[in-house]
Amino acid sequence: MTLDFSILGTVWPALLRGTLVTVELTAAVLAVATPGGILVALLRGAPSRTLRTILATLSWICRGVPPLLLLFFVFFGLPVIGIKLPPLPSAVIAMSLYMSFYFGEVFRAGLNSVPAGQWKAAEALGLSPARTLIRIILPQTIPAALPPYISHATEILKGTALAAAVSVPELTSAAKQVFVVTFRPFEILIAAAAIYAILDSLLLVLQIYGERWAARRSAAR
Amino acid sequence: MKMPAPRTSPQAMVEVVNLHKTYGPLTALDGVDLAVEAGQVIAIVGASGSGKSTLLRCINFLDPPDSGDVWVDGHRMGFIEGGSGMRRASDREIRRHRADIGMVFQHFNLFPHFTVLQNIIEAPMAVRGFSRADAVATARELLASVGLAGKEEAFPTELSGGQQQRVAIARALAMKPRVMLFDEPTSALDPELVDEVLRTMRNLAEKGMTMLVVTHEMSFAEDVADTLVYFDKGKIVEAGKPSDVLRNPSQPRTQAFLQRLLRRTL
Ligand SMILES: Nc1ncnc2c1ncn2[C@@H]1O[C@H](COP(=O)(O)OP(=O)(O)OP(=O)(O)O)[C@@H](O)[C@H]1O
Ligand SMILES: [Mg+2]
Repeated sequence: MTLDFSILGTVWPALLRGTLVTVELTAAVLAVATPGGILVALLRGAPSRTLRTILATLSWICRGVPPLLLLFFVFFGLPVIGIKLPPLPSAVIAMSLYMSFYFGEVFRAGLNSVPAGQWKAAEALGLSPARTLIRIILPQTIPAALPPYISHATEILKGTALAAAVSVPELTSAAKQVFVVTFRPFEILIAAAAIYAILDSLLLVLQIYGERWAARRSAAR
Repeated sequence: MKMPAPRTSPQAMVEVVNLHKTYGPLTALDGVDLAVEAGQVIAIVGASGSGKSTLLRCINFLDPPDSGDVWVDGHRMGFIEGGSGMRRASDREIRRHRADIGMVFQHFNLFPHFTVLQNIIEAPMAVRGFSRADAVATARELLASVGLAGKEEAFPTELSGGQQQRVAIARALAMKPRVMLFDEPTSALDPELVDEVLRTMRNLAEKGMTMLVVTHEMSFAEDVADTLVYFDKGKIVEAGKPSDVLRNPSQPRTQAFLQRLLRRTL
């Protein structure tokens, strides 16, 4: 068998469309699950025991069941109670839901890595809790939180392929659609894999940039 | 609404009246009364756990007291004077009043991801609403006054402990506070760096800043402070002219403690 990548010359628009959907879905999940994770991390430190228990249970469930099941729950389950959502938003919601809990763990570890004196100093200056969190605390979680954050983000990127199950036309399903009609699965899957690899490396670039940013500021405590 | 306890020194810059604070079963402050006139420097000494830090945190309401009052520059902390008397202040109002009180910590607590300049201008812009240009101009002046002109773009980790503490002092001063609280500002420093920080504080005192300083630096207390206050088990057990308290404490416990401190520092 010889590989002939010239087939890409004709199928690239379909792969590109799939790539855009994948990027869009990944970005949307990151955009929702990142603040979601921060919220989960903050709430898990809340004084209310009931709240913490509810959250721990939710976290246990959402991280314990197959993501596909959550996706089916949102896409096929919610319409039963009258909430009918198109495929893409369903995928965003389902994936954000469980990723928020993963990110919750990441940010919790990150928040714990910031010395309490930082909150105190900001408070003593009269800064509001929200401003303190955004300007003072969260940037300092970067050294601890960025590596696991990026590895979860990579999981999200790969995980978007699941959305094919509710017919979101993301990259993997786009690849499948074109290879079943062109009979060139190898070339097309290799191309798709290369695109995933490029997207992965973009996330890694983000990590390297973040680590460099943190290096000079790394706190000597 | 509980009425404020009567004040004995209504003209004082800071007045603490019958302050109590407990942490669970533990009594950290057990009825503290203290008045600090404008421009005065008070040195606070006492054994570990006697409540010195708690007093400072209660004064700026980082840790609201259980009972008792704190007056700063004629304003009762934690309360707002309304048309029909006093009401409890919102968190936002408390923050605004807290901004009038500068605080310097033992471990500096500079923001490590900010440059020196960013450390100093953040709160004036966010809390006081200063323009960036004004905040930067003030920051540069303050840096020069603490002997750190030219360090604007350095990150805290690139500075020595003494330099970091001076930045922390500048950061607090940038809010144009009426009062400065220092919680063992030189305790975390290598001995050779202590003097530069004490010198900065001395300058500040000479410019007329009202200061409450928790310190074990007896020579500083004696030379700079107007009053030395000795804390024991959440109470002030001695207060007076530093040289008097240091040489002739009335309580035997104070005597023993101060003897140890003096031996260490002289
Ligand atoms: N946030 C807190 N929670 C519980 N207990 C506290 C808290 N802050 C202080 N305490 C307790 O209150 C008492 C007074 O503490 P404080 O820190 O004011 O003492 P200090 O005089 O500043 O001591 P040091 O010289 O060690 O700094 C101590 O017994 C301390 O353990
Ligand atoms: Mg203390």
